[in-house]
Amino acid sequence: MKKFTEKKLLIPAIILTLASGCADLQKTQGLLDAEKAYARAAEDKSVAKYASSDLGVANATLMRAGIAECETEMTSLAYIGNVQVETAIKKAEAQQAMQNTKNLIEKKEELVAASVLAKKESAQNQLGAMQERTAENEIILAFGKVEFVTGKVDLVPGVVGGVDLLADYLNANKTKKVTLSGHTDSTGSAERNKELSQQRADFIRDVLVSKGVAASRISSIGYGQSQPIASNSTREGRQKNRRIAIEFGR
Amino acid sequence: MLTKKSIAALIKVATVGVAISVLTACGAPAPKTEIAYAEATLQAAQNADLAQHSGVELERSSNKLQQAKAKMKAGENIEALRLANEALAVANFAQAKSQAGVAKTTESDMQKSLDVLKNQLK
Repeated sequence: MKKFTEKKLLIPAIILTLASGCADLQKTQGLLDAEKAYARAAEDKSVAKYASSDLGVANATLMRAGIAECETEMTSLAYIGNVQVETAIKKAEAQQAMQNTKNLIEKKEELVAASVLAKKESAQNQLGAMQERTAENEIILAFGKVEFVTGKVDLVPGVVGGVDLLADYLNANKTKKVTLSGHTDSTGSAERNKELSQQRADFIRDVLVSKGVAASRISSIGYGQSQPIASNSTREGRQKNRRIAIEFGR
Repeated sequence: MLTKKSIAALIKVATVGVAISVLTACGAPAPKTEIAYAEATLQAAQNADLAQHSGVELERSSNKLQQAKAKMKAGENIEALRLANEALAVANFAQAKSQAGVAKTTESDMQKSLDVLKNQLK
């Protein structure tokens, strides 16, 4: 009985040994290389971010390769695992490049928007400056009509429009400052004329202050007869010389 | 009525049969589905590779697929299955490589376009 059992089990034992002989198979160089490639890819942040599931597939294949029952299977699975690692890397590269492109597009859009805004602001500034110049020219022109009674500080009635325009303009543009320069014709002494021109400039300043303009924004200077703009030998010339010149600043 | 001798003989025959099956794997089915899937994937990868980034890989996948078909025809189904799986993996890689190539080209073009814009705005 004992002899029969041994004989009966001998053939299966040999066959089983042959069949399972690959169970203790050593890892091939191909598998070791593939495992190294996997380890490198696993440390790559981009791969972890964009292709972790693909890398997981590669890992599963390499684990199957590690327990392969024969060398042919191990070699094939190692090859497939290695290719899957490379695939994960390429997929991560594609995703990273697409993200980079998206960022570049956003940067480009920001630049275009900033450029359009800058152009718009520039145009608005130009328009504002032009409107400012127009308003100031209008005031300067109106001030040319302001007349004083000869030898006095009093304004000739009916020509105060320029003063009102100036007050409105200064109240609307709080950063603007103005310098009022008083001038006279050559009638009378130069000393008296200087004093008179200062009084005239101060008078206009006081009118502006009474209309709500801060005194700190107004300078008034009397030049007397020293800066004529027309001949003092004619009536028209002397009238032109009796004037208040204005200059705007910030 | 089976005798001890006849039982022993039957066991021997059955064991040898199983062992031969295990060693030669003659019982493995033909990997028709796997080959068809690999072929479809390869076709998709070829169609997607308009910028020709993956010519070498596509050819490699194609060769493996042809070998898989030849092995299946010869009845070597396990080897045919391995080759089909390898062909599939390479086709997937080819597709990923093409996509990466296209994405990188697009990124490079966008960078150039941005540089041109920056110069224009200077």
